[in-house]
Amino acid sequence: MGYVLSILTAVCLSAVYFALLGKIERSWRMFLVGLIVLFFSPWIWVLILEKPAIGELVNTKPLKFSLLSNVDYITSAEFLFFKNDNRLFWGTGEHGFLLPSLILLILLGIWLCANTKKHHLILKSFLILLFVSFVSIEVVGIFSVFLILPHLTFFAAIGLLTLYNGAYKNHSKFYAVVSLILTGWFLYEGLRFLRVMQVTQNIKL
Amino acid sequence: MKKIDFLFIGILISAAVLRLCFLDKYPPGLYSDEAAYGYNAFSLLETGRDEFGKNWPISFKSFGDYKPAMSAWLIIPFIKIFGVSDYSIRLPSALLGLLTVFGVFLLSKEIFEEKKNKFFKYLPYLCAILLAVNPWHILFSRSSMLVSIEATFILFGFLFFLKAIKKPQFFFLSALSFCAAIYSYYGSRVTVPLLIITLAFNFKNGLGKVKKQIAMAIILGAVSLSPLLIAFYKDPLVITGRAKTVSIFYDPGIKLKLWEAHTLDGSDFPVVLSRFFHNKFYFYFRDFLKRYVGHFSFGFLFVNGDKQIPFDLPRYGLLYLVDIPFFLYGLFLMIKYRTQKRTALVLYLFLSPVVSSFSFLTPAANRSFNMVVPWVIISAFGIIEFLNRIHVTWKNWVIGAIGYLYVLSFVHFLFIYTYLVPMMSPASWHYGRQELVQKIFKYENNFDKVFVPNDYGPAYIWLLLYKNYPPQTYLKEANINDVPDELGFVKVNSFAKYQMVNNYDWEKVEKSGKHLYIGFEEQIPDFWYGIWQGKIYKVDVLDKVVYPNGKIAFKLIKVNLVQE
Repeated sequence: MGYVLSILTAVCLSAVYFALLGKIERSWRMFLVGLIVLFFSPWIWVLILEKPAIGELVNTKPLKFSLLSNVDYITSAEFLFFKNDNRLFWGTGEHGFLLPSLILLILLGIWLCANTKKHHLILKSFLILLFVSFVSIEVVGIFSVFLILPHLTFFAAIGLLTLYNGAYKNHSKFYAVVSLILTGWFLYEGLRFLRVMQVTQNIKL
Repeated sequence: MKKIDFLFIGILISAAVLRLCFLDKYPPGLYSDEAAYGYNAFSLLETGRDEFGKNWPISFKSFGDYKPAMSAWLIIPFIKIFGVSDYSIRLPSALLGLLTVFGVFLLSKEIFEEKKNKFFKYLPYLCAILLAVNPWHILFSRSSMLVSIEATFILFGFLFFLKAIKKPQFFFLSALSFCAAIYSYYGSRVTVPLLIITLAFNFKNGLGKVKKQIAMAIILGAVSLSPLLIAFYKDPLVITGRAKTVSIFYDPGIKLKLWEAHTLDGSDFPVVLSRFFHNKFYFYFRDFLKRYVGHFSFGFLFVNGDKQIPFDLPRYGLLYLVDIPFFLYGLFLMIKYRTQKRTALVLYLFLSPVVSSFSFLTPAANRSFNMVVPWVIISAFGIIEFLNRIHVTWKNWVIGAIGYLYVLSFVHFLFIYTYLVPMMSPASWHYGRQELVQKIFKYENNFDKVFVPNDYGPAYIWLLLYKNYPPQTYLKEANINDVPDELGFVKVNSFAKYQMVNNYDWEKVEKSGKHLYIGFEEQIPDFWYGIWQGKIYKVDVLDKVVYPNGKIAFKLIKVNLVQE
């Protein structure tokens, strides 16, 4: 039952993610980039592997309870991108919910949404969900972070696509170099992540 | 005089009050590094040599951390005039902190030259006010901890560089300011070159016309730095000594993780692939990135601050929560409507935590202190731009609300700083050392030896400082353990009748009726009977030093022979 719930959650969140991508651009290129970014996102594998289980995520709460502490906990880069919570066994090894190479891309994606009036709704929905996750963490524990992960992954995907568009459509050398470096970094971390996950899955508790 | 000039004078006076008043009381106690600067300044004044007898060194060996010398040089005239005291030791840092407020005023005028609307003329004043009441800046201006001095020089170096784009003669002042920063703090040796390269790249189009002035400024900089380079050539520890105690490259944790990763891969997994996925470059890079991003974390900036003593403000961060929306808005607009100077300021912000990210004690409020200058300017810009977009009906209400929030935040910070810090964490600032030394003076003539604990700070430095101990005499008497400990610190074992005890264990300390013992509250019991070399002694508490919260900081104790 827990596993079914976990898979359902993965499907729902992925649907939200692709729906967001569809709002920007409906093309095979967007879909491909989105798929690759999602594939190399540890959070989707946490749900697919059910390690930790949703029940464990719900029962794991921050050590300090206050709105400010919750904000600190959820927005902490160490928690989101590097290390996650030490109290649980993560099937993805020592990773956050997203790979560190996505940090710049996420910032670029947020900038694009802030800079484009028609995408302000996406940004507003992200901020609302962020606030809900701050508040609900005391009830649903770490699981509340999953509310914002599709948006963060979406920002990373559109950030990456924007760099590609800048490189190919605008023939900008600067964009080409930056997109090459960030893509290379992302793919390296992605492959490394798969290897670490493979090693972690072989370990018996 | 115009109204607007009174405003600036009022801001400067407020900043001066916040930085200069009760400098010896807040923060409570003189931290060991401050005491070291004070004594080395005294030693230089008296003898032209530091505590180790080196003639006008570029770096003070001090506790084995090779402190940059600028702070001590600046302290010298003040201890000459005012004598050796907590106030005179902190005064140069406080004055330069005040100068930074003026510098921010000038810098914002330089960056935002356009006069878009009526509110824009107040932007420099708002920048100055925000820095004047900024918790992070007040915390470091009011202590002699190097970074306040460094930040001032870097600010002026940056400002003069921007001015030099139109008036090339400012390149010389920029070079001198940056060099002064390098003499002020370890981190500047990385920050300044990075900043200069970034500025050069950012303004590369304009610099081509002034190559001659740039070349001369570079020569001036090289000449100014030559004493440091010569000192480094003679003793590399002058520059690398501190790095060894704090750098991530000396942290065994990364190497352990690497070893663990290779072990988990197992012997069946190809070595080449194992090294491809787990290698030093990636592990150090990941660690650096984690530490760098940590400097922008919500918790560090607004909730908990720096948890390392003595920079920990209980239940407070480094900046005001009310800054957040205005900073984000200001940053967004700075990037959207970027000019070369605005881009330079944003780069200044993002370069500031780089050097701190190479140390393993992160996030660090002192090593990333340069962030505070661009932070307040961007926040002030955000406020002004926000006010410009408010309908005129609501403007006064909004200004009032923003002002109210800042006043509330400032009052809260003042409460934490002036009340909670002395009450909750006086020991962090090594409170009570001056009073302790005065009490030791009072009793020491009756004793042959004085045992002082070296825990929680090198005890010898306060004894030297508050006694104005003659440096030449100290050099002859000092028994120094020159072998650094695991953190790279060098310890003084004794000088004159003072014995510095590491890992103070009362049961193992030599007992005699001719010895005076100093201990922390938990180190020596008030009531104690014990046997030492066949004789029974009991403890007799002579005096105590008390923290502001009433708890006992130190005890001065003698032992009385009860029975032979």
